[in-house]
Amino acid sequence: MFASNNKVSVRQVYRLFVFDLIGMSTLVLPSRLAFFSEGDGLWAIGLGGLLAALYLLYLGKIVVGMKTDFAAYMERALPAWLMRAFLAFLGLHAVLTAGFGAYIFSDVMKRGLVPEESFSLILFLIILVSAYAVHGGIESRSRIYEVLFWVIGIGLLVMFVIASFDLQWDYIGPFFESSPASVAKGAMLVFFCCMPIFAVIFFPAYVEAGKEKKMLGAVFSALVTAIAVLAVMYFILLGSFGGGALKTMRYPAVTLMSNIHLSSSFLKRFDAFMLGIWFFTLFALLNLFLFYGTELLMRAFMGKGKQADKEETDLGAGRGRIFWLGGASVLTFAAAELFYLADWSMVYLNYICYVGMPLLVLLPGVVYAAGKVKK
Amino acid sequence: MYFSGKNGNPKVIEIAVCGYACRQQKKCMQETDRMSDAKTRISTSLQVNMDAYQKLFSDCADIKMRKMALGQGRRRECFVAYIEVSVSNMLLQTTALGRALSYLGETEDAKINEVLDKNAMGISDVTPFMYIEDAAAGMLTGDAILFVDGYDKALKIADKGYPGAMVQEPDSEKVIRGSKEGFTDSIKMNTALIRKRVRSTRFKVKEISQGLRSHTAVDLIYMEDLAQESVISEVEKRIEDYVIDGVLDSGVIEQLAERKWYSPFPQFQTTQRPDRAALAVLEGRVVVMSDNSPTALILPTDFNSFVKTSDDYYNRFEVASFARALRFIAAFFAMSMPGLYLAVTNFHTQILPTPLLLSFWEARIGVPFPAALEVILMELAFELLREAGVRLPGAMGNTIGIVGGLIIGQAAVDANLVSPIVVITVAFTALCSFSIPNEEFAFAFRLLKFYIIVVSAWLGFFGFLLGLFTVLIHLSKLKSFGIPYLMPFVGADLTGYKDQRDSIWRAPLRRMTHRPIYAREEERVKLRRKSR
Repeated sequence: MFASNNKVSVRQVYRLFVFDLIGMSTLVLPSRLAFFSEGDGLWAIGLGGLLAALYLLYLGKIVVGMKTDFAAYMERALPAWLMRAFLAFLGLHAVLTAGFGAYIFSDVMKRGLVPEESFSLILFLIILVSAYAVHGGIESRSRIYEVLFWVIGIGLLVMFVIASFDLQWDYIGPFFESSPASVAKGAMLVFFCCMPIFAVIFFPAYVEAGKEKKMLGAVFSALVTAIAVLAVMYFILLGSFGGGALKTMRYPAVTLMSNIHLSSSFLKRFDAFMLGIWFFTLFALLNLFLFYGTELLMRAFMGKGKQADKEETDLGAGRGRIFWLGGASVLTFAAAELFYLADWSMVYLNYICYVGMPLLVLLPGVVYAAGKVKK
Repeated sequence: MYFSGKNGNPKVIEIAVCGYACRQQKKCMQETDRMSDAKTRISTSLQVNMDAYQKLFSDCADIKMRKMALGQGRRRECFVAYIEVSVSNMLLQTTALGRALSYLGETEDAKINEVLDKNAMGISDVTPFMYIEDAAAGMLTGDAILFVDGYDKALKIADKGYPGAMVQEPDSEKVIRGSKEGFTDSIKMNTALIRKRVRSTRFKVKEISQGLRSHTAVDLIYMEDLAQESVISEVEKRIEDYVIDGVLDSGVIEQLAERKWYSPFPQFQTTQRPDRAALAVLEGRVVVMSDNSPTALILPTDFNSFVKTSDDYYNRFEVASFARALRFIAAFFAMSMPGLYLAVTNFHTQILPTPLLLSFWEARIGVPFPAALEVILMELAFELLREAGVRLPGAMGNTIGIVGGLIIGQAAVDANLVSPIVVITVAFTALCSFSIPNEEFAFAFRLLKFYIIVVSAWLGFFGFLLGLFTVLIHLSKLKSFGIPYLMPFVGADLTGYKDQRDSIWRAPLRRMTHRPIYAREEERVKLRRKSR
């Protein structure tokens, strides 16, 4: 029928990326930024945003040059075994990142909403619902966030407005006191939280032909929006708690919400409701990586021509796809459990710092260059 | 013809009835062809025909067969067969059958065959049959069959047809402003009621016979130049996908044709209002009607369509927009209010001011049930009251509402079985569900309410959010004939769709220049100012 084309609109691309980018960054970055550079965290946000914009520019050049999506381009540019190895690496990286996202997500929910429930149960439910969302494919995923965009946007705005009444202007700063290395470290963290823009190289498969540049423009707008939201959030948190207190908090935005008391109102506090913002944004991030984990692993191990993603039934995606989605979900669950039980967060962050990010920066360029040479 | 009439209605209906009869007879013939290869050719001997016909309808007390004499000399015998009640047995001059028999009674015996061949009896809707089985199928559409001795065909003569209720105001979809007409059980009448509102030659009624034994007429109604061909062919395909004994209501077609049959959300919009169906046709949608059903199916559809009412377009845009916003909020709370209450009072009491929390606590003193069970019991009790109210006759239905809502509710509170705050929550939820204009759509929210209650009672606000999110995911996956269920909130810039400004915000009528996405892309403009 005429709307079932596995394509998403430019508006959907924008909204999808806004959600992908703001979830993790607004939740975990503020305390880390305060730890590295307190008031200068704002410069770190700016610098990190600039790095992400340059990265997007670089990816954009590759997207325009490839004239197809990255996975399809790899099939043309690389030997089959190498293509499969790269796809498997990207797939596993996506699953690992989904696991980290699921761990943060479950941890926030446990601490903020259901402290008496077991972590594993919360994690299981989150991954189950996420797998259900991913099962609907890119169209379904983008529709969810297109609908939620204003709901979350207005919620976030209300939160900023309410919080701004309690700002202590003395807390903001100090500026230009941190070392450039500290600011650079903060900027790298911001850049890490912007890494979901890597997904842009797979998007040509999901937008209408000839709209690649518009799509890149939408992703750039999403990046600017996310950086602006992060900057405002950091500014408010800094003004509410001060740099010293901020660096000791695990999820300062959640703490901020629980500290706001409304007088003469039907509701005294908004924290439970405001956690809904991170509920939906972290779901977006988890869905993103689970989606690409499934897609890439399926392509890596099933090979061309055996993809089950085209196989549609009355109940949704085909059996092959459900199998890979199930596998990716189990791996995500296992990874998140490890992050929680063995506290492997630092191992993951080291991996991201020394392996993940460099590879995600270099790989597209290397593959693109290989394709050009082969041509 | 109907353009010249001062009062077009009866004539329009007459045309629809005539057209219907021909189509119905044709379809029945086709069906009869399929079911039996060997047909009995109608003989010139009346006795042979009578025997065959009587054998076919043996043990059918409702079928009347009468032998009469025709011609000036009363020497030509004839045999009239009809279903009792569907044909006037008075054979008055005012009925087609009466006029035909009267005319034939004054015709010379020798000229009767010629008169019959030329259809010169002065009545229009006469259909000849060559075979006994075809004649029987024709009679079962509700008309009379005439066999004449020495004539090798049977004639179907239209009469008043099967009995049915006349046009009344529909029980559901009440409007303050706008037409009070509702669909009836007769498909003939219903198609005519829509055609009365859309008097265009591009208005098409395609008929399918469904039901191996019921031979129910199913009409596909659409505008030839607006409806997507792919949708029309898909509807036909889905309707003909199944062989079923009988189609007794359009609900049967709806359930068989839905792809996501497990979804609580209807993927066909239903209406009992001809003006609503006419509006859908003008939007490029397809209306499916089944005989013996006063409910039309409209497709494709989306979430937004279920929240609209006919009078949204008859009222000023401020009024319509306000009412729509209310309905959207009502739909949300119809599903979520009890769950939200449980999440807040059982898990997140910190968000309530202390005086309010204390009053909630005081209200629950002495209530023997846990809050979740209390809410579930009250919701079930309310659903029971609603069901009882619907099944009971009108006046008694109202009484049960008063008895249940006021007397039992008050007694339950006084007896400390439930807390007043739960009664308020349940009543508010019920009000919200009543505000949703479409009953099937409202039912989805009523069912999902229990799901939200369970997850909220289990996991508090986290469960509440999980519940809402799964519903949203489900909605995002739903499609109605290729149209995403969440249109126009999603994918607006796909497929060249231009926002018609007709969702929560209903733009002033003069600004609503485009048809919704259902219409063909080249036919999206529906309103333009005449050039001066």
